[in-house]
Amino acid sequence: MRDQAGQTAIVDEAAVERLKGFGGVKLVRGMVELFVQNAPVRASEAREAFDCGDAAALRAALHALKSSAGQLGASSVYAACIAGEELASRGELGPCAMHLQRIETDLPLVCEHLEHIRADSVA
Amino acid sequence: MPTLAVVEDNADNRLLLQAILGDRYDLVEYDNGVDALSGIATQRPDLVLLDISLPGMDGTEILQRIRRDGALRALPVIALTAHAMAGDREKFLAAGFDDYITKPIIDEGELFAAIERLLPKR
Repeated sequence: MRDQAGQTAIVDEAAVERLKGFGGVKLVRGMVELFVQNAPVRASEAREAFDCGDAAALRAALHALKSSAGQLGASSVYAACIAGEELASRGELGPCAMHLQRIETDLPLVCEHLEHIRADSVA
Repeated sequence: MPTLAVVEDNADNRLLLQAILGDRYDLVEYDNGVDALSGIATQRPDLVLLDISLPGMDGTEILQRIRRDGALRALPVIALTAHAMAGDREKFLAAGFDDYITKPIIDEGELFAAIERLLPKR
């Protein structure tokens, strides 16, 4: 999904619109609040697991982050979780580094963008 | 109104399922396998939506325990999973799940169709 400047959008607005269809702005607000609260914790858990060489814990943290990111349209985070989880499930920790880095770079931007969406839905 | 047990550790997924399904079904939510098995045994739902990747006891083990319980054996159970790898559907159906829904949930119609197909006829 690309925005008007041709950049890959940090959040796919279609996913947010789909959530509105499922449960209106109340659902979007609730989902965003939970994501902003929980996703950074999951990312920290993934980093800690990676640094400790714990493939199972890394896989679990990325898996938990994956479905939330996918549901809210955080496409780059979602894709990095999929790739990292698959590698971790095979015990291939080394190549997970680039996916973890992608998550750590993009997640703050995703959270900031989602906070704007949430604020707009309250206004 | 039919009762669905939702076994899902992610709060946002429970919130989503409540938003999608709450008008049509009574949902009883569990965030772990131990509580789910205890609750399902005492308050039997009409159908179970069961996340596969739960911490501790995972969804496949919960399903096996349901299938071993004479009183619960015939309970329809739909797997909810963020796994999306080739062959997963066949794997989960072979394990004894009645159907399989992938997350993120894109099409609520697919979820409703699976539930209505499996609910006991009213």
